[in-house]
Amino acid sequence: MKNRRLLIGALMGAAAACALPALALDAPKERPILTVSGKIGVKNAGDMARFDMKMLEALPQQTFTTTTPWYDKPVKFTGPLLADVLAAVKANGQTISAVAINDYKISIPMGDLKHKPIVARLLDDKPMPVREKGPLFVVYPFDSSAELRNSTYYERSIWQLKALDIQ
Amino acid sequence: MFSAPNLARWQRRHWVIAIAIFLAITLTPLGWIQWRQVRMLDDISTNQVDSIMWQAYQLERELSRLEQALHDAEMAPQRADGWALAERYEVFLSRIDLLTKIPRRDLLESTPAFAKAQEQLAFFVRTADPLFADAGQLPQQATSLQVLNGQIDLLTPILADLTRESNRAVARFVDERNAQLAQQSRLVIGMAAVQALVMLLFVGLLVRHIRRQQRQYQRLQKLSRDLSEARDQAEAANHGKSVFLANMSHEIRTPFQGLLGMLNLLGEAQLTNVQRDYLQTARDSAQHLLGVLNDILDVSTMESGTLKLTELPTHLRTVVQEVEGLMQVAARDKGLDLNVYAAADLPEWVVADPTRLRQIMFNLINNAIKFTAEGSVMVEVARTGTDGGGVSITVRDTGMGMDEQTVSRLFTRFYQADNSLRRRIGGTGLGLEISRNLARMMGGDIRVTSQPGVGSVFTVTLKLLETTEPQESLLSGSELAGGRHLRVLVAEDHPINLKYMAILLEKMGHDATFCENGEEALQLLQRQPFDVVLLDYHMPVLDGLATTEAIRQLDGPASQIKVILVTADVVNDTRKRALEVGVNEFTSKPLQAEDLQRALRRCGLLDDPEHAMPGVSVNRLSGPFPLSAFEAPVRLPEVPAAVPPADDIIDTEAYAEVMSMMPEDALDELLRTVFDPPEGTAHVLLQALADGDREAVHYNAHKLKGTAMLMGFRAIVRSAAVIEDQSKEPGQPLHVSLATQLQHDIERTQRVLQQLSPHEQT
Repeated sequence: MKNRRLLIGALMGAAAACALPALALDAPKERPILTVSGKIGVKNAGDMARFDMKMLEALPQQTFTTTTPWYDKPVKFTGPLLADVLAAVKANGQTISAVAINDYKISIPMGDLKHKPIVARLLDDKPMPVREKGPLFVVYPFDSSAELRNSTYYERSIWQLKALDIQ
Repeated sequence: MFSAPNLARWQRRHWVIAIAIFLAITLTPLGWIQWRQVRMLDDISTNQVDSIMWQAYQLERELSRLEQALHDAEMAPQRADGWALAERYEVFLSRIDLLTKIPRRDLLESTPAFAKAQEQLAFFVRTADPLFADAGQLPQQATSLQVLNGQIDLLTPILADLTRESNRAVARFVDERNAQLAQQSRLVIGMAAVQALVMLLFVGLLVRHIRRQQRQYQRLQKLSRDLSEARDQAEAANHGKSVFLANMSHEIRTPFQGLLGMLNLLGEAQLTNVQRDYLQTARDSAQHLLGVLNDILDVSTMESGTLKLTELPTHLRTVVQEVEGLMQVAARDKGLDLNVYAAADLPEWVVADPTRLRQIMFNLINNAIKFTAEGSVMVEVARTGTDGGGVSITVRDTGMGMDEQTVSRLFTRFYQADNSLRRRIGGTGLGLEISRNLARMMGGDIRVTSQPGVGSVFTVTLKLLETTEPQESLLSGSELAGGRHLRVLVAEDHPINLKYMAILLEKMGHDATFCENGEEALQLLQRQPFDVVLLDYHMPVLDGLATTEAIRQLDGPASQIKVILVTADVVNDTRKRALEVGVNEFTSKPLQAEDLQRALRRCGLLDDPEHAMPGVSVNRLSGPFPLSAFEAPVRLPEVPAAVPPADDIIDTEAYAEVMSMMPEDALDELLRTVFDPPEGTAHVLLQALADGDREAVHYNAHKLKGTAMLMGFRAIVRSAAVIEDQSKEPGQPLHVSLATQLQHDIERTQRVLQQLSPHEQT
């Protein structure tokens, strides 16, 4: 499938390449860890889109080190941009309702994407088990802007993320 | 000891430094406190300190949920999902790190509850981890579930304890923050106090400075008051001196005229040679005295700055010749050669004050003759410079000369080169000072070079503008009128003067109204319009100056009327005072047609003739400018050899003027008021003398003197003046010779009058 995508991409050129991910999203091969539902254009499991760790790893990765209220020293986060994850499912809503394994729930406005939050999957280059807020953790680059260092963004930094509902 | 800085001496640099230090002292700590507060707020938001409570609570809650899940699995193992159970366990574990790795965990770490919880949790994890390793099978292993439940039961009260402890930790944190804030508040208050103190210090310094300045200002004001008082006093003293000089000039001149007259009369008598010699000495002394008097008057007018040059077109060569002619006599008497050279290219006519020019030359040449025992005196008059208008007069002598010290003090007042000569040579010592001042007024100066035993050279440089020969213009009757018909108000108490003025003004074509004193003049002015007021200086009720002041205080156009003061006062100080009160012009007394004409013209009441009148120059002894000692011989009409006898008795020119002015009958009437008994002033005076009525003598002598001055009866002026003077001192008896002399003068005057009047001869 991947080859075919590349082939078609090569044949159809740059313009078509943009629309290409909308056409297909592989079904997760491993245990899915993130479910995206709601107003999305690409699905791979009924009405939803599911990701396993490999699929998230395949997206472009970002890395930054920042101080947080949850660790007593700066730590390094790695993972795809939240925007890239949403682009992969062609999300077109106004708000993201994020849900954690521990049933924590928070709304993230689409506008927040400009702050470049990531869906972190590595902490200090190591995968995060659930007991260490894993496997996924939405993190804002707090050190890049004082604007981010307040409870609004700390609340939106949801760990043990398991689902996103686009509204 | 602390000494306060003197703010008055502070420069801008000092102020800048002081203000910078003040700002640094007060603002730096404030800034530091602000920065601390910002840090504190940042710390609170970054570290989410209050989340300790939340995390502790969440941990406890997650434990409950795990307990619930385990309990559910125990109840229905077949429905339970081992992985879900494991996930719940993992979530619980994640809560442990969230609490124990929180940045401000120090708030909690020190408490026993925390240590105990940590220990128990570690124990729980050690026990539970192997059990959850095979999560899929866990629901079916009842013993494992029991173990876990037992562990959880142990953990529950410990975590509840931890939650309470967290609550207290947060409270402690708040206390800590409050303490910090309180400390910062105290700091701020302390800073404010320091600021206030520094401000107070500055204000104190400023107040002190202002006080000091005020005191200084008051001192200055007092000083200024004192100075202006001192100035007023000095001016008053100076004024007093001027008045004294004016009086002195009158007091000395009047008897002086008598003295000279008597000396001249004495010269006519039969005298022995010795007596004639005595007489000559007396006459010389009198002339010298007159010179000294004139010098003193010169200096006084120069000092008050009122001396003015009367500049008119002057024939320079004539002036030089006149001076030479007079000085040759003195040089010859001493056996000296006097050589006067006037350069060929000398300007013919220059604008100059001829009297003053002569005075300078007389002084220098006279000095040269005085201080030269033998040899010669050489005078050179030449043109200097090419720009025109420069004239130099060099006087060279072969006299005793002077050393440098003497030369340097030469122009100081009353200084004479050789004190031993003083008695022999005489002089006031004012001559050189006067000459130099005059030269400076003429835009030049006097320089001296001298060598003891060789001689001295005095060089005068003057700026005299070259001019053309003026055209002679004679005053005719119509010119006298000046083309305008003026309404003149005259205030004059002397009846004869009044009559004379009436005739004069009528002759000039003006309309005259008369009154006797200033008060009447004021009343008339308010009733009808006039063009000009002639005020006598000395009047009863209100004198000339007081009347002028009152006129200027009037309402309406009357206050703007031109005022001409008629005065015999020759001292400029009187004029200065008169100008101050608002007098426009002056004429001398006795009033003369030309003087009045000139005064009216200066007032702008008559048209200016095209040319200045060259014929009019100062030629009377009573003129406004006193003459120098060295000019006196030329000016005194009493010099016997040069004057015919008739001129000694009557000033024929003055009398001719009066005659030309008056119709015959008026003149006759005027003469009758002087001579004819029983009303004639002369007659009444003689009668009063005979009666010994001192008051009547004084009054009539004054009256006769005034009339005689007006008519030019010189002899009678002299006798009347002597009588007036003598009658003033009550202690002295009136000498019978006074009456004899007066009688004699009256007869002589009448004799000359008979010769003069054509109509009397026919």
